[in-house]
Amino acid sequence: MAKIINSVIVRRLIRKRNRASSDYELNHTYLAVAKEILAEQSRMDTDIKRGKIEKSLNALQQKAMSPKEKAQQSMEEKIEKLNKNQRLPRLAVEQTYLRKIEKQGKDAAQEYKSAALKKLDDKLSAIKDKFEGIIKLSPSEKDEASEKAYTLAKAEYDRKLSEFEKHNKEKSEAKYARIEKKVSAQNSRLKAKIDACSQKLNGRKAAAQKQLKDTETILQLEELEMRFGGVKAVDKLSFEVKEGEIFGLIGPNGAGKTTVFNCITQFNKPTGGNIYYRNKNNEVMDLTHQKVHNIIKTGIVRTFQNLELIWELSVLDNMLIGSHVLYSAGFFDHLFHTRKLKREEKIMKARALDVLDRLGLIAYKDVIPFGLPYGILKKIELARTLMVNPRLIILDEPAAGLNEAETEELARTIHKIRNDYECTIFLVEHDMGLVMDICDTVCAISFGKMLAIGTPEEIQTNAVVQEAYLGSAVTEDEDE
Amino acid sequence: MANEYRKELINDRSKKAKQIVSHPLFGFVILTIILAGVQLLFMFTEDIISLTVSKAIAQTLIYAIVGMGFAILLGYAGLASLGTAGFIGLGSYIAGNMLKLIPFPVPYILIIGAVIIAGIVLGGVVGFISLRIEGMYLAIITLGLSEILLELFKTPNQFTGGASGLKSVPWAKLAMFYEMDREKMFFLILGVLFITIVFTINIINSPTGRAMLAMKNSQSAAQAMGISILKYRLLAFVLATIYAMIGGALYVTYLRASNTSSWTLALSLNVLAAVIIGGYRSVWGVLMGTFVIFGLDLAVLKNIDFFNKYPGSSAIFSGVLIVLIVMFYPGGLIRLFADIKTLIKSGIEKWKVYRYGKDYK
Repeated sequence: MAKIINSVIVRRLIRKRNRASSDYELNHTYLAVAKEILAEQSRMDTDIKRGKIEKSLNALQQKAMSPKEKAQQSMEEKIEKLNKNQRLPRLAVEQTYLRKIEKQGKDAAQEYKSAALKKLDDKLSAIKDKFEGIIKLSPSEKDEASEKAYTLAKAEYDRKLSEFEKHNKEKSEAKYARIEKKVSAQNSRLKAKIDACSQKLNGRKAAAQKQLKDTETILQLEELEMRFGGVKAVDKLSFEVKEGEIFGLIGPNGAGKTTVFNCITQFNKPTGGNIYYRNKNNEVMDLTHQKVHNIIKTGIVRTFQNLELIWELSVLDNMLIGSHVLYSAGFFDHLFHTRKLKREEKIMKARALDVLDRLGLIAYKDVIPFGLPYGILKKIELARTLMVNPRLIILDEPAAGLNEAETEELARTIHKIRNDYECTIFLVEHDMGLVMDICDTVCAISFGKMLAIGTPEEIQTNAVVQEAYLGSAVTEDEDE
Repeated sequence: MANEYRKELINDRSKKAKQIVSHPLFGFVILTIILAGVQLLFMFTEDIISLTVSKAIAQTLIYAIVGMGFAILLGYAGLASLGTAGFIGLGSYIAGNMLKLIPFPVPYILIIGAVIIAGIVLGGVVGFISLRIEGMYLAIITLGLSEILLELFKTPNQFTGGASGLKSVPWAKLAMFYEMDREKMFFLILGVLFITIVFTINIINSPTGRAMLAMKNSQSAAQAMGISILKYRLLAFVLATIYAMIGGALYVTYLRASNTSSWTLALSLNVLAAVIIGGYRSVWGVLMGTFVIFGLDLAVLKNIDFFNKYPGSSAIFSGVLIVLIVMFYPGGLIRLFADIKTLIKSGIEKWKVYRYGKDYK
């Protein structure tokens, strides 16, 4: 009984601490995003203000001009406008002329064209004549008072603008300071919460901790076994994945590679064995006790062999699905669209755009993914996994269905992700080229059993692997 | 913020008027004002709007509320239910009995609260069922549940009034003392509809709506992204049931009667038809669908002799409409507007190319 109560309390504490630490991280992101947004906002406001001031300045300038200049300017404006307006009619005349040539012969068409063009030209020259008359008549003296006002305003212009800019900057800085104060207060509260939780946790379960052999190991499979009825898909499989490496799992068709993945992410509950995983707090947890939808909270994200994108949502919203677990806003926040939710949406959107930009997908952000090229879709799914700052990314046949150029691009992307996001990548692949190219360690399995594990070179030269994996293919080739 | 693409995170103050017009709720505010205007016309003039039309609009609005819950369930969570009528009926009986049996004046908020609690319980039960069963079979189960409720309503007892139904329900009080009548009830319905629209739009534009869509499209992806299927299925059913029950409560307080014969499969199918005909991914679509299915039937077709002579022939109308929509407009009637818009745009483009030549831009 005491054990059960203990485990319930421990679970609650862990959940509380995870929530707090994810909020803590989000707050940091929020500060960065808020700073950028405020800066951009103040820049935009300055632009608007500048436009307003220039408009009033122009009005003053108009006033300060002599009637002659005024008339001159208005004539220029009018002619420019007319020229602009006459562009389309002129084009239309040209088109009609081309059509008339076919229907009525060249002469009639020429006649029509010259008549129509003359009409347009007449309009132009009529306006010119009218204004030239006005210009001749209007006096050339300037109004001194308004001229003075204009020069004064012009001198004021820079000062006014810089004043506004300064004021705006101060305002946005004050706003940022307010936000920072609030967030830092929140963060110190969260930090205290996290510390309290960890302390309580330390007191509670010092004995239950399982220690992994190697401190660099992030994932350890121990005698993993998965049966479907009488079929053993995975048979006593054990291996370790080290932190920061790209680990490849290979094997012929039906070797149980995807089943291993499904066992790790709990889509299939393993029938035997343990899967240990070291989370970011350096605690070892047994994944077999986790629910499917809680796996992502530990920092493990996966992709699927057949694309599992949300076809009814835009690419950006697909990315936001990836960060679903990071939202701490509850249902009532969603119902009322509270400030908390809006803030979180802003953070997530900024993060999603950042990830999309890094992977070169920014052009597709508002597109529904349906119908995009397969390589792009694979990349979007990969990008979606990065939304939660994962520790371990599990890729199920990332190169399936891609051509050679796309596979090369994918290899580069995977390397980039590993380096940029400092995460471990664990992949299943058929494309031997890709595996040998990017993996640090390769594990070969066949019929759920381990064949060999080592560096790509070792695997390539391993006789057992060759026999199981390539053997049949080689003999077939020889037969031909 | 050097990147151009991040501009969408910032509100551009120079386009304030445009922001107001493009706000998702702008159209609904206009619609609410128009409907209130129609009711005011009915109240203060003699001939322009008849009582039938006012009643028809009010009932249509009630069904629109129900339809919105159903749209969340079908369009977002991807779950089919044929139990809507039973839920509406239950809501109406709960509200009606509260008004009839409680001796002191019941404020309306209490009625709404009661049906919401009932909705959470009932929706939770159905939601748990939906974890095991999917698609057509879920529809059959919910249909069975609705029929059980209907049989319960039909058995003679003091709460539902047996087969003859609940009659002469007193008018509700808005607060403790402000008594409602039919004209004032209309505005209450309009208000509730507007609040429902706001909540629906908020839900479907929030992580909840996205999570539901994710669940509908790919369960495994949703689970891998940390979306609990249990939570969101329950939530979808609870929401749909609450909407249906609020619709029932409004129905009984507006018409002051609740007939057992109203809560049959036909009503559930009509709600389904309305949502599918209008378009289940958009609130406008749901509103349009309910106006086509319920509004036309109540306000227009009932006044035509032919449809009065052969009751039930209006079902032919909605049936044909469903067939046509599903065949040609799987996205619902709301797609029609988008299509017309693109058609007009491309037509203008073609004409311009004809008139000004290919490179007129």
